[in-house]
Amino acid sequence: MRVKNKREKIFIGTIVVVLLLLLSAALALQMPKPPVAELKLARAKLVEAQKSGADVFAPMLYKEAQQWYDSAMIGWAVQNERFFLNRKYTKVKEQVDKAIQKADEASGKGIEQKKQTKSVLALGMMSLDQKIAVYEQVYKKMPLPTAVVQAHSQGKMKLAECRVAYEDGRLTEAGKNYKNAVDLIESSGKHAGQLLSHWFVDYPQWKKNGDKAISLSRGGKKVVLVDKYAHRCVVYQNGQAITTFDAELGINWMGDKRLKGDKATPEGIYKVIQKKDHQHTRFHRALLINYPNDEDKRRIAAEKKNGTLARLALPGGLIEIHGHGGKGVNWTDGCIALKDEDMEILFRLVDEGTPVVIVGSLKSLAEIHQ
Amino acid sequence: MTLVLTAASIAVLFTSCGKVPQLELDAAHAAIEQAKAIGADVYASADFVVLQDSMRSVTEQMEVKKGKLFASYGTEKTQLAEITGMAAATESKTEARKQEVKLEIETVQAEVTSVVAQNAELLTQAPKGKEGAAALEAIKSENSLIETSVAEVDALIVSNDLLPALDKAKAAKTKALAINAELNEVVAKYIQASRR
Repeated sequence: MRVKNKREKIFIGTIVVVLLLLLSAALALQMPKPPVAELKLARAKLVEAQKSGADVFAPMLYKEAQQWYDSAMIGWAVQNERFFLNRKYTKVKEQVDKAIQKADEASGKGIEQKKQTKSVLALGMMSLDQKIAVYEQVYKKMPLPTAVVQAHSQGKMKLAECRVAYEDGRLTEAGKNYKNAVDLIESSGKHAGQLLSHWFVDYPQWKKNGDKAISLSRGGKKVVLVDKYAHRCVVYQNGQAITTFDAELGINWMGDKRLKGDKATPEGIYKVIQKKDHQHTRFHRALLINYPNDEDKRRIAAEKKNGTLARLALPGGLIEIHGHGGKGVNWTDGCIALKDEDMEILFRLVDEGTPVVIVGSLKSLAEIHQ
Repeated sequence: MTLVLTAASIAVLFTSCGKVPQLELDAAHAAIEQAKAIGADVYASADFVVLQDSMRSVTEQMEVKKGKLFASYGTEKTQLAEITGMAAATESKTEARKQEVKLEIETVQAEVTSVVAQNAELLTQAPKGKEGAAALEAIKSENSLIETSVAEVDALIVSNDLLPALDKAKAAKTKALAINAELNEVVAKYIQASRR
């Protein structure tokens, strides 16, 4: 009887265990499933976005995608802590979907932005090259303030750094250098441009004097016309240029000469008052002109009167067209220097009394910028 | 009694068995952070992306296991150890790349120094007196700009900004060579003019 009882108990126990196991298995099958495949996809999309440069070119979107992925992972971990029947992955699924969507957007924007940045930089560098070329052609020979020259040089350096980074594919670094280069090159160009415009206020007078020089030469008389901006010294006869020389000027050649020691080359209508051969000048040959002329004296007196020039200021003098030029720089104290061989030709061509017309420029600012 | 034991066994089964390999997990995280700290994301970016992705992948796998009745983290443990190894390799690769960049900077700097020295020599031959002053003033100003640039390169190396340092060194070299050409031209003109 006892044995039978024991058997019954074992049988019932086994049945209960089997039933419990079956119940567990059934419940386990009903367990909600985490979005594993979606998470894997989100991860792959994040890698894709990073490879497309989204972390740099679409950082907000990329970060958002990363945050959605991280939130999903945290949500998944939280659900895993719960009793299996209580786990819910709806929110995790939503977060993963968001991560995938944002990573896709980041990839697209990253590619587009990278392409755009590359093209903007390429065009920008080209434009800066042009600005540098204009500066070198139009402003470089001008006696500019040191700060302007330095800003331009620093700008060129920054552009060179930009180019190195650009060619290496580091567009963010290139962009930083580009911005610095733009600031420096544009500010130096603007400053130089303002100085040149200010000087060119006298252009109508220069034009008038230039025309007068040509007209003076019409009767067969030789006239020397010096174009300071072009650094040219032209001899006219019968309204035609018969010969042209390169000229070097005073260190501060821009602007009219106002006082002794300003190292400026005067502007106005003068004449040769003395021809000096090599025995009478240390500059090979020289043609002394009548600076200051009556017009200069009147102007200087007026400036003294209105206080823009000191009362005791002297106008200076001994302005010559002489030799020893060809150094490639403006180096005189205000004279016009030609190469010795050119000076010999000019020396033979002109006599005492030959008009010497010195103008800032024969070309207008617009023509120069063309 | 049997019922109690069975229920307890099932409860144990449902509350998972294996333990998360926390030690390996922490080690892998630390190794990745260390690699990043020395600049792996910049100097070995492709490897660093792989590293980050591998870490995410293992974390996902572990979460899958955590949700199961019977969890064993043997594979993940191995994978985490591999990631730690990968991080160390990435670190070495980063250091090697940094050394390469440093070496390149040193080479370019040496070239710049040599050209700057040549420029200094040319400056002594350049025209003296008032005719030379104008030409030299501009060149001296540009030369000093290169010297400033060289000092900036050194500062960037110290702050570990090696790639910007290399950009700067290369730009300084271009500039130094341009000045060299300009100086040679000035000196040649001066010598020619002096002979006359």
